[in-house]
Amino acid sequence: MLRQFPSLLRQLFRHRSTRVTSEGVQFLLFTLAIGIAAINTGNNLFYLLLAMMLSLVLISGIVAEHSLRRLEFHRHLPDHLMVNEPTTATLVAKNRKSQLPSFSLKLFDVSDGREVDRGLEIPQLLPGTSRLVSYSLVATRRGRLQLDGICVGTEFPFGLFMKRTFYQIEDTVIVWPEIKPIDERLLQGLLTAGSEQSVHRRGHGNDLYNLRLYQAGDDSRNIHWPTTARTSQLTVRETEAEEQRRATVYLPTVAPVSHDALFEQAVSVTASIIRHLAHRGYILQLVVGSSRSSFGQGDLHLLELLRMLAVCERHSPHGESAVPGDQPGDLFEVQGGTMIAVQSWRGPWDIEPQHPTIMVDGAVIGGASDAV
Amino acid sequence: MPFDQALRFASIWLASTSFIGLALGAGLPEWLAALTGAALIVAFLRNRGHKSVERLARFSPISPAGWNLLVIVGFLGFWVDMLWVSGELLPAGIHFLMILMIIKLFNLKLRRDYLHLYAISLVAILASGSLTTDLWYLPIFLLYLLAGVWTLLLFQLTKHPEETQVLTMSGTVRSQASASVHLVTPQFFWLANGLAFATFGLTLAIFFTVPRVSAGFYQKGVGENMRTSGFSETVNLGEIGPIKRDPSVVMRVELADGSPNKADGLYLRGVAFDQYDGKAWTNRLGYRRSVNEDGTGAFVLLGNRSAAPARLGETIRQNILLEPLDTPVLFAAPFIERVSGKFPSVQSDLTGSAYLPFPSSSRIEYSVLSRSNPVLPADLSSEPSLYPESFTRHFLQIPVQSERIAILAKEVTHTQRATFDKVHAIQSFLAHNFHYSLDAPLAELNHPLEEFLFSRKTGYCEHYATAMVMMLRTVGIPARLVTGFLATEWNEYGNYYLVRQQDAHAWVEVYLPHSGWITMDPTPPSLESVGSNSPAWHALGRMMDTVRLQWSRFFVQYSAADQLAVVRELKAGGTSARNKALDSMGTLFNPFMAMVGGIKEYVFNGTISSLAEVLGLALIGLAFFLWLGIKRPWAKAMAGKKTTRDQQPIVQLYGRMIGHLARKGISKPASSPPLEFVRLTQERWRDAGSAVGSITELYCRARFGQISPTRAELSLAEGHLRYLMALHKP
Amino acid sequence: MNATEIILAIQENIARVIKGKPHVIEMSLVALLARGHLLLEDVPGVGKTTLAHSLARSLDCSFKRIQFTSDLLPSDIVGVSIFNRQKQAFEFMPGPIFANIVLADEINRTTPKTQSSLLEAMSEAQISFDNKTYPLNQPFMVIATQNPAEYHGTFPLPESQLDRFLMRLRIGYPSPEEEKKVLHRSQLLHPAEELQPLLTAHDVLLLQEQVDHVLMEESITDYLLAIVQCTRQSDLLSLGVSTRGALALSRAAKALSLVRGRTFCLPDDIKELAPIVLSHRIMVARTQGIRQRSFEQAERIIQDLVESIPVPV
Repeated sequence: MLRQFPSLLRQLFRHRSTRVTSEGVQFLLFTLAIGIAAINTGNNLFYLLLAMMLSLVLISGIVAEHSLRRLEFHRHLPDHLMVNEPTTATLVAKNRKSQLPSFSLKLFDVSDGREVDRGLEIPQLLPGTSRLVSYSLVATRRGRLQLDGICVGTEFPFGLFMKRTFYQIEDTVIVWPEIKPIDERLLQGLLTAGSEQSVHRRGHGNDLYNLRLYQAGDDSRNIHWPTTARTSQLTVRETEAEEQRRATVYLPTVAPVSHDALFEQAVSVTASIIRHLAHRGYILQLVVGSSRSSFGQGDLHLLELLRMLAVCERHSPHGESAVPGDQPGDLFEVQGGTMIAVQSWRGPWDIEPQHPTIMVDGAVIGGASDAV
Repeated sequence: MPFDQALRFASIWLASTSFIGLALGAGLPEWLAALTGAALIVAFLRNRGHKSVERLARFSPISPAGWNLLVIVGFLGFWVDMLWVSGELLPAGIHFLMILMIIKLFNLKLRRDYLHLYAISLVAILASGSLTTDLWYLPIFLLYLLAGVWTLLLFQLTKHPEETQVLTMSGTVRSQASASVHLVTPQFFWLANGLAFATFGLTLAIFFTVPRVSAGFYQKGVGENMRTSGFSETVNLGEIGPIKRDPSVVMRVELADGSPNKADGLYLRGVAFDQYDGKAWTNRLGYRRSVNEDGTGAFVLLGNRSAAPARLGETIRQNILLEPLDTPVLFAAPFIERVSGKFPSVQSDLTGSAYLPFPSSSRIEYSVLSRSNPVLPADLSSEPSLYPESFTRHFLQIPVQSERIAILAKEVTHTQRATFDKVHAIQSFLAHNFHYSLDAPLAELNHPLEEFLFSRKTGYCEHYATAMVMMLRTVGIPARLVTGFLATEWNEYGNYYLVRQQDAHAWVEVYLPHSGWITMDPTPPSLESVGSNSPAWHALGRMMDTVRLQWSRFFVQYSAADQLAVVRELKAGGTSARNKALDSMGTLFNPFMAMVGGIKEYVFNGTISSLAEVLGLALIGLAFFLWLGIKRPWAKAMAGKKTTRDQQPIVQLYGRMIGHLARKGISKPASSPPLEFVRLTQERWRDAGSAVGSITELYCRARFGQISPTRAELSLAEGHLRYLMALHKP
Repeated sequence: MNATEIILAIQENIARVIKGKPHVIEMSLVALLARGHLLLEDVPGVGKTTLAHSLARSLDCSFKRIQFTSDLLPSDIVGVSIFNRQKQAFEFMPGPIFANIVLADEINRTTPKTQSSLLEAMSEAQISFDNKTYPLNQPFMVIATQNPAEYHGTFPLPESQLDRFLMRLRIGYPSPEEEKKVLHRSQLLHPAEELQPLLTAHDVLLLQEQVDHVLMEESITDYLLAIVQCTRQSDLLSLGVSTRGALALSRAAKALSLVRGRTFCLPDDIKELAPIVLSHRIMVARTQGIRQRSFEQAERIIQDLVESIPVPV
């Protein structure tokens, strides 16, 4: 019991903090002055005023404590954020007290141990009710955004003190790299690339893929009349799907510290290229450093790739001669498809280029410098 | 009312309270008081949104710079005031404060201005506290506290919207939604008042427990001492008369033995006089010497010249609270044996009067043990005897031209043999043959006593007493004149005698050889009542006086000694201390309890007076407000609008169930519909589930299905509710 | 048998086929009784088709299934005019939509043109073809399914057309025990074929009529409108619920009351239905991330909004 007690105390007071507002400072100065006057003169009416001011201080403490107690928060975040793109996060605040309302709640986001003021205010939260507040959340760094909890403060009732308490609600969001529109010339380069490796598949298109017997539900326009006439059986033609292309995007992660900003640019460019290609129906594979995704298609796959980009990290080069971009090359040839590499660092001789280099099947694409 | 308007209103209220406090306490110059009052009224009207006032204010010729200039002028004026006009710091400072307040009142724009106004009002109420100790400070203080709580609360609540509105101008929808939040709702009203009440309670607690470092006795005197007469070395005949109409309170006397046993009042002896020169009395025995203090802090007067060795007389213990007077005399019932109080020293003279070294400038409290001399049987029949020369010189002295008086005295007393009988004869002669009147301008005459005895035959106590002393002396009985007060006004609410200036009195002390000095009063009871108001007003006045006394005792005079006493009693131990504490609480609330008792008495006596009406109305009003606060009938009325009469009982039943569950810790969230709440209850309190479920079902049917429940269903639901009430929650 | 018992019986009937999903069964009945259409959005193989089939079987209604593919044409749904040599005239051959219960499988696979022909039929309960209108069968209910996992080569339904569906439901995987039971029964015939019809089409129409007579008290209407208003004002949503949405919620609440054996609505009905009736009628603000998982997100936002609105007492 005795051993539990200190921990209980810590539990109670760990997350409380009180700050005196500027009005509070003035108030306390007045209180001090009146206290001195009271002691000096022994005038009981001064003591009465002093007692009033002290009890105001006490009452603010008690009421503020009650205001902050038994609240409940949960936060909703979008699944993904994008760097520099504002998203709306919502907080649901609920007053679980059965009788007492809470007033003037000020909410602060606690992220990485720092309090961030989002200007969130709940003027009044009646007992048993909940309130939805939303704020715009802008992530400035890609990667994992860690949100620890909510710090609630109130200056209620008298605005003399700001009392705060911390409610823990941990959330982690993946922040994607920024996706920017891609430059025209780069676009041309990407479009011309990879067309040879088309995989044969049924679908909309013009090239003949197959002929088969008519089934109910087939489009009557697809009936291949010559064959039908020949075989006196309804035959339809199937066409080959267009734009079935494969591509592998490679982002080397080896770059010296001096290329850090450039690496971030490269990640952003890679993300933009991936999304662009995914929207054009490419089957994509992403290789980031040594990790590699499978070939895939569809939005889920795109999300997976973007997540990889979001969490990738730059590594400093170990050896002097380590030239990135060489070693995975053979593998791509086996898999087929276009290879697009986005390089932020081409080797030790590369001194501070302005932009990452983009290579499609080993050829540097001009105009890539304007892509970012 | 929106918050910001309420804030402006509360701020002006705060300022006015402090201004009234200051005006009552400091005696502001009329022009300044009028100006400040006008400024307050203008500010109030502007807040109410009077267009004409607003227009007037807009055309005010003074720019912000002009206002600043005014502040500087005011500051210069303060120096002029301090150095030449008032000549003192405090009044000059107060005048400057008022000017600042006026300037601020016309300039209430920014939040900073409001803060300044609060600071000014705080300083004003502080100054007011330093200038007064009167009871009116209590209501002013309470009003100030209420206003302060409201103001601070509103100031805080209006703080954030202003800031955020500047920041986010985007959401018009949101500002509309939040607008409804920023209104003074009934809930908010009760919240603010409740906070103020809690603050007041805490204030009292802190006030009584804050350690007093400085002893609060010889604090700076406040105001002027009350002028009294008849207690100096020399008293002219007729001097007491004019003050007999002055109702101001001189002292309050508590009797240690409870209620008074005599209906005819309590004599409070002041000074005795031995020599009369035909126009004025002088005290030749007024030489004062210090009285020794015994070990317990009491001063024992040794000059008990009673011949009777045995302490036979009745003892009276009194606690006396004396207002500041211009005389150092300590009044008490005759004759003083011990005096205890917070005095550095006490002096006494040969006639048995007690004095302070100098007049006290503040209210003092002391307790006295007095012992009166009874008339011994030996004196009832004794002849006039001879007295020592020193004694006759003082107490048998008569002025030169008093032959007529001597003849009259002989006439009155010739039938009597014994001294005591003679004394009685003279007393009854005076009491029966003369008229008591305060309209007796005898003081201007050369021989006021002869005038009283032979021509006018009307006079008041001084004349009666002087006449008796002179007549006694002419027949050889030693006597002296005593001045003091005759306390008749018993305050049943506070259990003390209230002594006013108009109770000033003069009477006679006669020396009997065996008994010593005994008190005789020839003055007949006065038939003139000074205040001709109804008894209810008297009762109210006495009540007010009791409150005033408690205020003085528990607030103004509260000191380190009282705290020490409390601590000591607490140390003394368990139950007794608790009882004492209860007692002291009891004394604090006694007047109110007595008031309630008093009302009952009045009602039963059939004299339902204005007092009872006033108090009754006040109580009913209070009860009504309390009921409003607790029951919130408007909420019910709102709910009632949507339900028909048949459904009302089950809806109310459901409300009671919700309330009961909330007390048991299962409160209904505002956003959870009835059936969801039933599930919630079942999760948290399994046993209650079925009862709650069936009541809810009936409620839903009535409330939302418009199907009125049958009588049987209703009684079943009530049974369920009773079962729920009786159920014990694990 | 009164309405409540019949409805219960139908639920039990379907529950014999669809294991462990009483909520989904209840909601599909609500959609039927509210004259609404149902959109099932879930991964393949959790019983979307079975649900539709067994519902149709227990109602003794005609049932047709249309598998939507990218090359499906409007005429494949509505029907075609074929030249009749005997009569020397064109004859209208009604398409699969002329049934009481139509299962539109993988509706997002087909082209917008085909989709809109279906949706037009859904909202107007009639078909216009060659300047002639052909009324559809009554009762008429479309149960559409779409698969959220696959996106490539799909044509997501626009919000304006999603609005035509009364509610959007997910079925979800059954619990392991229920799944086991399903496996045990799988040797037998297609279980839906076993079901005995309990109601005729005419009975269904009568029940639908009965829904209109369910009482909705004024304060509940206010509550409903408060929720709708709240979606329009929330800055999480770029598009709030339309009046049609409010109407749908009101109808669904009435139907649910009937299904639950009541003659009046409760706030509970509104609160329970709001996420599934409203979530596909709103547009989540762009700042809430990409559309990919907007279904869950929309549902959650609606739930939060409802949670912040006080219930009438």
